[in-house]
Amino acid sequence: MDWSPLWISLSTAVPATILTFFLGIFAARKITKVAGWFGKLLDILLTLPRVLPPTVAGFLLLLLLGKNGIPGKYLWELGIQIVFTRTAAIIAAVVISFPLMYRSAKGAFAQVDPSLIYAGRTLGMTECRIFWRIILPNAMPGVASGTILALARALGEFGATLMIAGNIPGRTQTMPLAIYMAMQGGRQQEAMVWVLLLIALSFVMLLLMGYFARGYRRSRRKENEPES
Amino acid sequence: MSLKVEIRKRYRDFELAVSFDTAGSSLGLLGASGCGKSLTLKCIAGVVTPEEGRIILNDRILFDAEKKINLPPKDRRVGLMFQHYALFPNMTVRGNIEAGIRRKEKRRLMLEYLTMMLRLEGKLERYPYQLSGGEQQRVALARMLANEPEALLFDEPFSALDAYLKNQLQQELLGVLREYQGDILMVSHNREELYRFCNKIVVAHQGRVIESGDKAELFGHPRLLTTAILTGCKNISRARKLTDYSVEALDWKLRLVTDRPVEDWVNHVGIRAHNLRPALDGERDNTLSVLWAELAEGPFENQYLLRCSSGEGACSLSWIVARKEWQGGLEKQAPARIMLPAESLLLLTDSNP
Repeated sequence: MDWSPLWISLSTAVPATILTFFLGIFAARKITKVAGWFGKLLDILLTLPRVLPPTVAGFLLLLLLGKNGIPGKYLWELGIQIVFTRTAAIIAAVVISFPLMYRSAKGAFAQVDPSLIYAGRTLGMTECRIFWRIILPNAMPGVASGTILALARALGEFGATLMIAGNIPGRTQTMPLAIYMAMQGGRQQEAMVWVLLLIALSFVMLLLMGYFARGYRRSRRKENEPES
Repeated sequence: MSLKVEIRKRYRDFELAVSFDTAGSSLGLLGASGCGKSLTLKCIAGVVTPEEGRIILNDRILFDAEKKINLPPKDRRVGLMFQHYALFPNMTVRGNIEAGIRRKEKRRLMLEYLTMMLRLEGKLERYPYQLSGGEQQRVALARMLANEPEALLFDEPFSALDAYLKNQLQQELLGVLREYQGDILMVSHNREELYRFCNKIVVAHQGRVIESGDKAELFGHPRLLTTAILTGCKNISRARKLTDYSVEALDWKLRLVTDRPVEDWVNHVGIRAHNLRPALDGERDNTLSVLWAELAEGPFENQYLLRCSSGEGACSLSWIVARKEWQGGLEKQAPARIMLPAESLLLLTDSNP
């Protein structure tokens, strides 16, 4: 049995999640500050990939990155091909998992007690320092669970990946694609191996999420009921 | 040493328009919840920007809407202690205090000094949730002082504590603040707290300063009905001026002689529950025949609700009397007439300036 889909899945989902982590946090931080209808519009645009079928995202990505797209055309002239590569798979995973990270981070930042931020300001901390030392650590449980959700989503990505990265065994064939191909080829046992592996991975991730959520509730409780 | 504040800030359908001057002493801002006290402190600290006015601390302009000056919070040198302290839950006590240290090169010295002054030895590596309410408050104070502020602002500093702890902490804080050189501004809805900590008191109501003055004068002779209520006066009646030294209490159906001249603006009269006493034989002026209605027993003093026998159903007075006094005779025979001493009457008006 060819184990390459496991490696391809991990080497796609992990970098994609790292990218999503920073992009999601950045967007959550910046877009909350954009007031008015423009802010709302951006918010909807960034959340859109979550509700659209992944094939729609795949289609749009193909338009952009394909030979006739912008910036695809110029990249092509520079000799950089993105479509049907690992990079394309990573981009697809980022686009699809981004809204989960963005939403979770935004919600988590909004939950941070504003008086902590005010306290930081009156104590002379810079906005940057306030973010890294106060907002982010106190929003960590929400940010962490958003990251895990994003990782799970990136690992499970199928539609957009199929369209933009293709299904090239040994190059862009991830586990979800391998399941599909195995079933198409009548290799049910092989599909079963991937299915069980994905279930096990997802199980572990949900377990981790529950752990973070519990830790979060515990620290909250202690804050609200100081021992006397 | 002074903090001059004169600001206007709209917030939804609420408008804050306050002005006061600490004039080198500790100032208390008294008001019911929602009167804009916290908002005022946030404006001074610079985390909220007012629309109009100016804030001047020791000749340094922190904010001036006309001159377009608005110093960022970090340059204001104003320390603000938040209602629930706002300690950083992800940092230890050491981290919290160090976050406030202004001159980083003095980090070690400052930390040692504050740890000693606020008795935080052995607590430096703990997290805020592992501390008692009192310890949390001391950490908040240490963090604020580490920033070397020129003025200290306190937002309801004792509201998060139970009564026993509150008393102890108030004594402690008084001790620490005695050494402090800058201005102090404390806001609270608790009159006793402010009386303890401040020399001058400003009364705020619905976003405006309605009365201010020396604390003894303000508690002894408030001019406004709202001030009387906020400073704890429980007995109030509508009133009408009769002569220069007498009024008619309309709700109590009683003519009252005063020891202060009655101004034309007087339209209410009040008396604190502590200041009532049983009428002596032969006393007619300022007395009222009463019936016992309710008793609320306290550990050291009892509070009675007296119903006037002459007036209508709504007429009642609240009387607080020390238990000792009560047991020394009053217990056996309740007085049928109650005295409202002329020197204790508050002559009030309900029209705000």
